[in-house]
Order: sequence, then C-alpha cells, then structure tokens
Amino acid sequence: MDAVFAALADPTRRAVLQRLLEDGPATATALAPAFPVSRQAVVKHLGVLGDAGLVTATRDGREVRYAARTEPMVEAASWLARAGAQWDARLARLVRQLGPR
Amino acid sequence: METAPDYAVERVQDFPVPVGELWSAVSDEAQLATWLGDELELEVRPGGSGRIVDDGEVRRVVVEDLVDGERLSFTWWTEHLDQRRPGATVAGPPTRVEFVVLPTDTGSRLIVRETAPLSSRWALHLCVLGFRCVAGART
Repeated sequence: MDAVFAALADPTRRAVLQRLLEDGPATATALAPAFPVSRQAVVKHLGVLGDAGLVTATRDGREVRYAARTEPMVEAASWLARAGAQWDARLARLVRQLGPR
Repeated sequence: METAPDYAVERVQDFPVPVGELWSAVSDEAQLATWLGDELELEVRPGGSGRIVDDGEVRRVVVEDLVDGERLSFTWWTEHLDQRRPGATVAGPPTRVEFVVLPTDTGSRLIVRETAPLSSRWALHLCVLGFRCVAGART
C-alpha cells in the first residue's frame, strides 16, 4: 500500500539507507561487505528503496552509484520551523488575552 | 512505557490566571476562536469535529481526548484545493496536538505539544532513519 512503509519495514534496507545517508553515495560493490547478505541481495534492496523514492541510482561507468534522497528530511525540518512559529504566534495572542506570567 | 514522539514541537507558557480560567481559554469554543486561529468552529468533545482557518490555511480538526480541567487532544490536518480536480480538496499529513494545563504557585501553565505521528509519510522517513527532533522553547 505505502511503498515507503514497505521499503523501510526491512531492517537490512533501513541499515543500507542509513549507511548511504551517513557515508554518502556508494556502489553496491562498496556497500555489500558491510552487510551479512550477498551483493545481489543488496542490489535488490536498493531497487526497493529506489521504487519508494528513498534512493536514486546513477550510472557511473560499469557500476551504478546509489544516493539517499534527503528531501524528506528537509521537508520535516521546514515543518518543525513552521509549526513552531505558528504556535509562537497563537500563544502570543493567548498571552495578550490572559496576561503574561 | 510511553514511546517518545518521533518529532514534535513543544511550547510551555505560564499565565497569571487560575488554572480554571486557563482551561476555559483552551477548551471553550468561543474562547479558542479568539487565539487559536482567525476563524474557528469546533465541537469540543471526544469525536467532535471542526474547522480552523489560521495563517492562511484551512485545517480540519477531530477531537481525540478530553479530560475536563486537565487536557485536550485533537488531530488536525490542512486542506488545500486540488489544482487538477476543480472542487476537490487535498488533505495534508495529520498531526496531533495536545494541551495540558497545570496549576502553579503564580497561576497556571499551558503545555502545547504538536507531534507528527508515524502514519504521516514524512515523519516515517525521519523516525526510521533514527532521527529524533524536538524543537521547543520554554518561557
């Protein structure tokens, strides 16, 4: 139903994604030794992450380079900033009404 | 054990009024209308629904829980007109808001917490990746 949810339900996929986020873009060959699964399995996980929009793939010579997408995090950070500013404005109105401390 | 919110905005504000007066300000429809948004209609009872216009956005609201004199929680989400389908609307990701009021030595305290639940798509990205953001300010 939700591709993102399904993609992140698997612990190996979460670990692969986390590694791409922390260490930057990498090929499946470079990633595979860090996981207790075959290179083919890592490629398959990257495919699922790609279908969910969490990872992008770019051809780099004979290999494919995978990178984590950070837009969702930027979106979340902007939500935090906006929601915070909105509560400040609302509470300022309430303070004007009830008086400060 | 209560699970920590994946990410949340929290504000704490003290008021020089008795806790009962603060409770009315955060739970009475007519009083909420004076500060929570520019326009507000809300049936304040568990399951009650409403609509708020604030900061240029329309929000739909559903009251979740109400403990008289202590706490009120609701879920809300923004609603935009669908650019592709005239007359239709698109709902933004829902977030949960909780008001808690407490008596203090000098009056009362309001704690406001807005959290993005797991079901909301962008929160999921963060929580699963091990991020936890809490943006808060104490006054």
